[in-house]
Amino acid sequence: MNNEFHYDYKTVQGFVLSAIFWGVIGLVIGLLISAQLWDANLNFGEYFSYGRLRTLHTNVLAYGLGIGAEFGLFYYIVMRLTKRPLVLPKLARFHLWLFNAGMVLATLSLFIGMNQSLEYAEFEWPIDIAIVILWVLFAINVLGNVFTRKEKNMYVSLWYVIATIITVAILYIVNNLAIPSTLFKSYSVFAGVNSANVEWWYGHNAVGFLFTTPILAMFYYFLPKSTGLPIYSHRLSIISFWSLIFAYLWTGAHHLVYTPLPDWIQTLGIAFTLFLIAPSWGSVVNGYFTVDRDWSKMRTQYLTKFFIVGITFYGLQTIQGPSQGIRVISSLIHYTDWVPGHVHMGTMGWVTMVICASVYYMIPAMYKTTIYSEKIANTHFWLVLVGQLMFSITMWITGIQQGAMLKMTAADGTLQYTFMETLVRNYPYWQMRTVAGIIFVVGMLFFVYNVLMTIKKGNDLAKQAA
Amino acid sequence: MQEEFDNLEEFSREDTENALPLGWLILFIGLIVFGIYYVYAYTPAFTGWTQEKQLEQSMQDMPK
Ligand code: HEM
Repeated sequence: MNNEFHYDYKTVQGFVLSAIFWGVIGLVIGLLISAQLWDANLNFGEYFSYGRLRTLHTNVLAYGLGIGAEFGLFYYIVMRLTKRPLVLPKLARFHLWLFNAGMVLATLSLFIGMNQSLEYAEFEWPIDIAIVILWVLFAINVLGNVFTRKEKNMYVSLWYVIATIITVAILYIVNNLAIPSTLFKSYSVFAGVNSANVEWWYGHNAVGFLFTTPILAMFYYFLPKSTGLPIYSHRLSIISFWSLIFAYLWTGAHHLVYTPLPDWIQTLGIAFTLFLIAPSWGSVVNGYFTVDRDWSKMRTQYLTKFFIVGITFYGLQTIQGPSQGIRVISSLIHYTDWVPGHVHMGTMGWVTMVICASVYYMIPAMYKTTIYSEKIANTHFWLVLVGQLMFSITMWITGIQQGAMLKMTAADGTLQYTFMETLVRNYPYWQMRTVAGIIFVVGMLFFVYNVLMTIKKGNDLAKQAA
Repeated sequence: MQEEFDNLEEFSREDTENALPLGWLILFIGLIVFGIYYVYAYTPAFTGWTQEKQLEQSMQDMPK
């Protein structure tokens, strides 16, 4: 088929490069805070103390690396699946600049200590308004493309993109409702138990709609593209989609088990949480059965293993997560380092794995060339895999240890251990975690190098052709 | 530069018209049924279960 237009890939690439830039910053901060936990001397004054930097780490990676990459990959996927260029390419370019300007301001604001003390929603109100504007710009282009699409059928990835856009907007606005008192300070409209309830409704769905639905959109698009194997069942993909987004919004209360939150809300949240296993595994099964037609792809197409390992961690994550929601398990692992173990199997093993694989597919496709080096990509794969497994496993061990110690009672019924005693037992595991983090970050540097070299290769080819 | 289209037709070959895997369907329905039971069993208004009562119970069960 021929057509006259060309897609605006420069904006897409700009987002990928921005995501890489913010990603490296976020990862380096992560390494530093991991070491601060076992050596207090690594806290340097107010600005470089753990308290400041931890917030920076989560926000820079979630919003800079995660959302940055999602903006770029979504523009790409949407253009391809709607078979038309973006309705407003200039707006998308403006979106790219605003994103980076916003990230600079947002990062600085956290660095100087502006913080509304809601986890993953730390930004003060002026930044919140900027984020909402940014999101609307993004939505205009994506929804504009969907409404004017040249392809009638909507592939499941598009549904995931739409769900992401609508849900994040609702979550972000509701949880950040606040009354400003000065330019840099505001007070949330929710208080006490209500605040906690709204916060974790938001918090859990941030996981759902920043770290699950966008990544599934990529998975469903790039797995078939890179293997040449179409998805096993469209029906399963659509049923999983609707049941996933229906159930997700009800589950936030599993973060507040055994708290003053009313019992019935906790129970309802836990029931929906357990149900989430089914729609999540719908996608896992669909992925496995897709590659099941030809497992030799695991060897012959280097990206297949990224996607299959990624979806496997998603599968583990969506069994572990619902288990954590159960009362008896929550009471053991909550308030321990088990939770960062869970978090990073998701963010490193699933989210970053699939984003990297998608970028590996997309960048050469945009230049009509091949990846700079499959060998480097494979090295990257094994390093991040080892780093992530080591990270998660050490945290699970020390988490269970700490949970058990916190609960243990002496013969007379008093607590056996003080909090400090349970804490110092974490030290060796925290040190191992820093090593794991270094391995992961080195792996990511291989990725960055490979992407930059592929872009260079593509540009050289274009010059030769011209 | 010309662009090739993404062929959705390729995404939907005949061998993608698979029904829901039976094992998965059983999991799906089973979790819904269990969820209904769970909500019934652990909602104070239905069975009188509360987390305070559970705490008291666990205090009594402690070896003296
Ligand atoms: C069905 C899917 C999932 C369920 C039901 C689930 C459930 C949970 C639960 C119950 C907790 C709280 C643990 C505690 O503090 O006691 C938690 C924490 C967390 N999960 Fe998951 N999880 C799921 C998948 C994921 C995925 C795919 C990610 C991707 C990165 C993820 C990221 C997180 C994060 C960031 C936290 C930490 C929240 C905090 O700051 O306390 N989860 N999850």
